Amino acid sequence: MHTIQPEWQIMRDRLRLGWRGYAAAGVYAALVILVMLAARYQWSIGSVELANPYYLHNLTLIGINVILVASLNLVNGYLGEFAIGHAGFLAVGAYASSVVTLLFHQSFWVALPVGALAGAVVGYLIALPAFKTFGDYLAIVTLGFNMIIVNIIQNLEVIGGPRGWGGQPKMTSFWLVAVVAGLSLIILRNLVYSNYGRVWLAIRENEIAAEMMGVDVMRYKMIAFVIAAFFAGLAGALWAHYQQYIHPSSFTYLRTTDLLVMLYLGGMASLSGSVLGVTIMTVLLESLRGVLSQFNLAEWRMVISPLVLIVIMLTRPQGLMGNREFAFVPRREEVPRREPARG
Amino acid sequence: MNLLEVRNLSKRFGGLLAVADFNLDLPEGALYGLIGPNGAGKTTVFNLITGVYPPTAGSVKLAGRELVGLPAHRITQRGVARTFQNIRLFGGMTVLDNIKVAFNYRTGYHLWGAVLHGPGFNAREQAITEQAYELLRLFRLESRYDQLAKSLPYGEQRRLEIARALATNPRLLLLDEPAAGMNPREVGELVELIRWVREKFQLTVFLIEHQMRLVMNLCERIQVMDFGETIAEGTPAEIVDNRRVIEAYLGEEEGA
Amino acid sequence: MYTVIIQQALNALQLGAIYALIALGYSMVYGIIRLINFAHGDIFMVGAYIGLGVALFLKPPFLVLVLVTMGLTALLGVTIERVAYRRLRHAQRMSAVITALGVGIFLENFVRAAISANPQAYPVLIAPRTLSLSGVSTTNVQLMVIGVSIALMLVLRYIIRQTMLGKAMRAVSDNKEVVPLMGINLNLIVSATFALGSALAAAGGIFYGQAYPMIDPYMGIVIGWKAFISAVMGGIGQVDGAMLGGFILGTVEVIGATFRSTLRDGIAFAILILVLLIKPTGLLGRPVTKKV
Repeated sequence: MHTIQPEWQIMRDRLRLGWRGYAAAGVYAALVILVMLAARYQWSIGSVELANPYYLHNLTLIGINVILVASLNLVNGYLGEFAIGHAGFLAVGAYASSVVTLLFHQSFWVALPVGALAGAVVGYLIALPAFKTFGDYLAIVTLGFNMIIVNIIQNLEVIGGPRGWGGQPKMTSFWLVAVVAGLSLIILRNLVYSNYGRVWLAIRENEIAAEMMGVDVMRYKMIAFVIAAFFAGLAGALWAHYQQYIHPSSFTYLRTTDLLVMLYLGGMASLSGSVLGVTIMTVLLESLRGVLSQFNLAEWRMVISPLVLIVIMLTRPQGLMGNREFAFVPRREEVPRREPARG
Repeated sequence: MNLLEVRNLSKRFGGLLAVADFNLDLPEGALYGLIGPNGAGKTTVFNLITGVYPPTAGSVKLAGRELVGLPAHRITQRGVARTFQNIRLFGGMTVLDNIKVAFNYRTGYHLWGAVLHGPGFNAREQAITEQAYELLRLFRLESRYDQLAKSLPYGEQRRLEIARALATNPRLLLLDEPAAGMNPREVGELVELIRWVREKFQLTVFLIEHQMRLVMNLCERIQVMDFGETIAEGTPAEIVDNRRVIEAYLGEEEGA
Repeated sequence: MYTVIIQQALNALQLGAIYALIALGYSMVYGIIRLINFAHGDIFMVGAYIGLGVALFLKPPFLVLVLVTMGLTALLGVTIERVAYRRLRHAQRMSAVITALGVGIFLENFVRAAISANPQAYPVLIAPRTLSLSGVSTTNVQLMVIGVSIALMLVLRYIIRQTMLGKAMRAVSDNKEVVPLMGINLNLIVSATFALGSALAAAGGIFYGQAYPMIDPYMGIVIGWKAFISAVMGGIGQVDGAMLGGFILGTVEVIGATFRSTLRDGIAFAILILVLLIKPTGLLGRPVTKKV
């Protein structure tokens, strides 16, 4: 066994998130506080209220979707697989958390982690067989499990069955989503810039070479999938206690497709891209809502998302930010500043 | 003592016997070669040793411990590293990250460490980076550290692949046609590199090669395969005079 | 007892025939360009709507209606391939699958926006008559669906086995690289494959409208997936397998429906996952080996 002794000094400060990262986190916190102040004191410019309920509603939806898309990016972007069952874990989180608040009458603060953990557990159970396949087949297996989850919910009368289930306490608010989404992004970013992110990319680039580097490929795939399902469950718990009504038809593959559009628009293997993709699609669809209904074309709004997806794939398959990040996200690679001192 | 002992290793794909009764005794610190015409089953032997395929029959022992039945990544962790005939780098990752991947099973931190990026995590990542960078320096690739692996010229990709294999801290290095696609000058450099690597890292090396010049120059003993069977074994001098080897290679342009 | 079994067998044959017609399109496209055409179920749906339009505006005789609809839907399939898939043939594998997913949703929402989200009643194209034979009662529609479907499948089988086009298709399926060297126009073969697959799906759409007389923009999702399950069960890429898979799934569903009909979709997907995990190449599939 040999060991390689470092013969030189290295810049240590570059290893940490760095001032750019802290600055970005600070700006984010400041913005969230500003929005909340604006909502509390009803700041307005002229007659336009800055943080009216409609804007807050959309910001909240963006936050929930950021959690969903960024976590899906672990599997579909970094790991390079094509899983299309994310809405299933969203459903598990939404229903499991509602079971805690509605059937067991427990606090939402218990329901929130339970929703996330339920997502993770179901994710684990599905990942076990799913990752015996790969490529298109993995897509089909994940979609199949999504359909089965929805089908089971439809057949469980105790949680509303096909009629849906309402009455959850309204516990999710803009600030809670802002905090959870921010923390989720930090956690995902930390994972991506660790051994886990490196190995996921390696598996995407060349699975057999990764295996020959001593990578337990199956294990790392499972970890990515379970983490993604955990965050989807978390988002589901937030969603259920925001909408106060959940219905099995909200969790079909049409929902997953919305997430995929945002994911691929933003770019694979890019957390900045996921945030960007969610924001652009939400703003685009919401602004079109008004415009189209003026011309009585409201139904055509739903044609936009699939068209965006097709156009991205044909013209810029890597998405807006594929494999790149805004400067404050990545860890900077450290280099020796001077020629190494030889021992 | 033999580092690697292969006994009666066989692999059948459907009706095709790709490898038949392959045997090998590789002493610690040796540098042996495996040659044979295209399709002779050489790469399959590597795939069997490294666990890419399970063998149909036979045993592979590394320092007396059985490798057959272990998953491929466990075999790597036991100390077997390899390169590929067609280079298999992580093309979309940086040169430094290509090396760092090899530390995946001995990072010294777990999921929580990665989630929190705490002090322990940072210290371990620092150490991994230092070791990876040092390897790059030894292979004169350090100036490329932040470039994507796929952007390197061919010769440097080959070097990076060997460096990456060494980063797994192997005892046995398997090289699959390391000189493929190289011109004579590059082959000369490669011979020096392999010799140097073996000295520096105290490795045992087993290599597949088509270019006779390289094998004859480098290897202490050579095994020759044809149609899955071992047809000859001996020192380079013995092999060049072997009639069956000459027959197997008749019409092959590589004979030099 | 016998009569119940025969009656249910006819129901299974009818459902299975529709699945099989759609499954053939999945299977052929996969065989030729190794793409799971996620939009194929929606081509089936559009085919049903085209049939509806043709029936309402032209009121042709039934057979003409089927042929015209098949032709128009074939055109749609070819256009989709030309516009959305062809450029991605050499791109990353997943790009084409993602695009296909987008095309499917696009078709669903397009039909929904252009016509209506509400289910449409399908016009009666053949006056239904109930036929009874020693206690077994069936309709002329059911017999027609089964009969014409099987006839179409036999025609397809003939095309693939006996004609030059079919030989070229099989050559492409075996080895895409050498095909241009043999003077075969690959694009033409791919177009023909999409045309045939889409035409069969359109026939399935009309038959579905006749047998279960409501259609809606999202019906292609579940039925499309069922058809896909049939294709996988039989061994994707295998024409005979697609037919076999369709009839098996039809039977399973008809039997399952007698127990608890709301679990039907879940059971179908459970079968799919089991098949993929146990024998991913399907009942008639050839084994695949990974090359290192």
